[in-house]
Amino acid sequence: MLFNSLGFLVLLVPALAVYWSLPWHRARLAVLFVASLLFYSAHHWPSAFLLLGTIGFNHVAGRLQDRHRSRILLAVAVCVNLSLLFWFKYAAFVADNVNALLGLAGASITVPRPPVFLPLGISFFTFQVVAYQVDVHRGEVRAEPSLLRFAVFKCFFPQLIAGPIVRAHDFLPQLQAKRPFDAAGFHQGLWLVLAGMALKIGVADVLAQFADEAFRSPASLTTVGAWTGLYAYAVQLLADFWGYSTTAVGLAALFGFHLPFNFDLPYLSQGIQEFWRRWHITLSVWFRDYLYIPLGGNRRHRDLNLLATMTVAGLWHGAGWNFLLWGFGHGLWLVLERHAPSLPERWSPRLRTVLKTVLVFHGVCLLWVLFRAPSTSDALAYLGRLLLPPYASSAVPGALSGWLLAFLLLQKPLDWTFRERRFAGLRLPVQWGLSLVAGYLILAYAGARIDFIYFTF
Amino acid sequence: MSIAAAPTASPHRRRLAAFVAGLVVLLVALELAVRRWEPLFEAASHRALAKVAMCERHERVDFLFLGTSRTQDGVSPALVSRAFEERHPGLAGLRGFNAAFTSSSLDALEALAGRLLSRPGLRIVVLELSDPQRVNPATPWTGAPPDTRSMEGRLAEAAREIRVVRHRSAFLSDNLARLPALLLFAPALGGWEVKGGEQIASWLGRREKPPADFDADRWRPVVLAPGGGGKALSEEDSKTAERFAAVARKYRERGIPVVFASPPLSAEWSPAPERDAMKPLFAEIATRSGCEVWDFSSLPLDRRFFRNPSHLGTEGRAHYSYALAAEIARVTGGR
Repeated sequence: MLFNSLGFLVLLVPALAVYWSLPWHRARLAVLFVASLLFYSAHHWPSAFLLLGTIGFNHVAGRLQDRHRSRILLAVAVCVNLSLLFWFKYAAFVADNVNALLGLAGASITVPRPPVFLPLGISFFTFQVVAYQVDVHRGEVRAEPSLLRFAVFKCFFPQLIAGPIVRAHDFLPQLQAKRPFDAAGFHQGLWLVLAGMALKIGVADVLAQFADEAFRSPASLTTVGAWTGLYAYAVQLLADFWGYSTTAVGLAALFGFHLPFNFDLPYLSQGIQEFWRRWHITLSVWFRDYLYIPLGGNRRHRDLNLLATMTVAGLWHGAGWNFLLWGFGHGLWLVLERHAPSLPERWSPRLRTVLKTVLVFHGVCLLWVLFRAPSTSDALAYLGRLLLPPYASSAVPGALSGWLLAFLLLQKPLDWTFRERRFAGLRLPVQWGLSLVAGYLILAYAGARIDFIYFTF
Repeated sequence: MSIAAAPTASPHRRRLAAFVAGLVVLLVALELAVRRWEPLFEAASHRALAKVAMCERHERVDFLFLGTSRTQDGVSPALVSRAFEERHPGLAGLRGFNAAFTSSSLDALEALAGRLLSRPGLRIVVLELSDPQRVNPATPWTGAPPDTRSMEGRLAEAAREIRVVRHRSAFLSDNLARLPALLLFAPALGGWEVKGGEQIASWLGRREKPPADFDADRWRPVVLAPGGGGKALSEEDSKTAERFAAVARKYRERGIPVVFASPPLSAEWSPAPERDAMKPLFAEIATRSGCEVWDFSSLPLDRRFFRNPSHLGTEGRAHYSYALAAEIARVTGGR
């Protein structure tokens, strides 16, 4: 089920009404659990059994871990979770590559390609429970004794399929006692849902048409056409995922819960390290805490750790060489940034800020080509049109330039309204005006019904 | 006796209630506005429907032009009326409308005929005959109905009961730009005004300049009268001729004379099937429909009349409007 579907509204409104009208905490949790299961199984009901299975397994494994603090138990729990992820997400990729190698070697045998589907959000909920197991092992959180509470932690529908990746120490305490109705939080939550959907439907889905057009036939693009198509994709991707995450935070607020924000104006970053502190923040933190630091972090082999972490992060996004290269590219950039000299101090601070922001944005855009193109060869073809002659110009559609410019100018004020319940504190006419603009974008552009990009990860 | 204190809402709750209530009021107002002007909101979703709706907002339309952007850009009904007043007093006071629109097609002519026929007082209809009018694909203005086999489809169907949702495509940026014309300016527009500035100028009563040096002989079309056919047509062209003729017959059955006009093209426009390959089709349409075909496409005209090789500019529009007035006067006997 998609947040941008009518079916979701039919689920959400009764769930909210029943949730807030019930006086008992456990009953409220049960409502959340049932709503989450309905939400998840509406997309592909067999996946719900996988979800239930991992809930049961991780609940038991967590309890055992709490009692015994065993590395072996931790290894088993992590391996079981990661092997599910591997099977569903990477087995076909590995089989394809093994078969390609066997073919090159002239072998007549082939490895059968497993006919698997990709359960929605498996990358997200796997990382969530891996973090839980590690945290319990480290003693940072106690294993959750209540199966119901653990199930809600694991499958709370606003964050189930595309994050934010919620950590046990942030969310489990919120499930311990009945949440009082918080009018200001609910108010802010309404705005976050509305604005998040407007970002998705009114910005990302509109720009998707231009990006898809550009990436469909790179060979026919002019240099200007290739760059504007890439800008369209860069903003589409941010608006899509920022919109999803904002909606998720807003939905959680409607039920009285706090989820972390996942984006902090990443395209205004002045360095690639800063970019990763502002893009998909909960994933970056996950990789820092559960891969980068255990590998040695800043203490030893820092450059290698960066490269390895980012390459794995690339693979997390998708089973393909282009994702691996994309992650490696980011790792390499992080290493280079660490050793590169900074811009001359004699240049004015404003000039340095603008220059660094523009450079970082364009570098990120160039790497997005690997992320978006269907294959590595397509990515190279697109990069060729961006960077190599013949350099040619073409008219930029007015709608595209208008949308990009509007996003460039409005992203910061929009983000401002998301933070610290600022929207709820604005004057009512301003709130109505902003809501009407968001509602207009949703209403007018709701025809495309394009899936959220991160649903496929 | 004690009176228990009534529970008071917290400031935040009151603020939330005011926010939600305000939004509901705004949405209800919008819904009521869309219901009040529903035909106009429906029309805004497609340029063809918009043109017909604009036409319907005119109290009186005596002559009507239908076709593609070539006719849309090329004919000013106000100048046609002015030519009547200056040169054909028997037709003075007649009012017209240019209902042509970009990417019009034969399907569109067929589909719109039913609505335009119901317009009382029409005295003549001029249908464009051109290559794009013949080959442009159909442009359906009713979207595909939701798939009611799925729950999502059934919900979408139910949501269409809300008029704001049903006519939401009227709010898309391009379509939204049509709403001011439909709601405000339509009665003052001749139909050729595409840009907002042109629409506002017409609304404010700015009159277009007549042609400075109109040469009626130079702008006289080749007239193909009914009965002049003869060359065998391909099966496809034969079908096309029949479809054009059928459209003309629909109007004629209501007593409304129809003529076909092939708009002027600059010498640079090539290939121009109207000048050669389509000639037998023109003749066949004239014969099957019993209507004249006015062929302006072969006239040797200066480049200055055109804004691009296939579309007339301001000066060309003035001349073509006068030329059409002369031909209308001829076929109506100046009365």
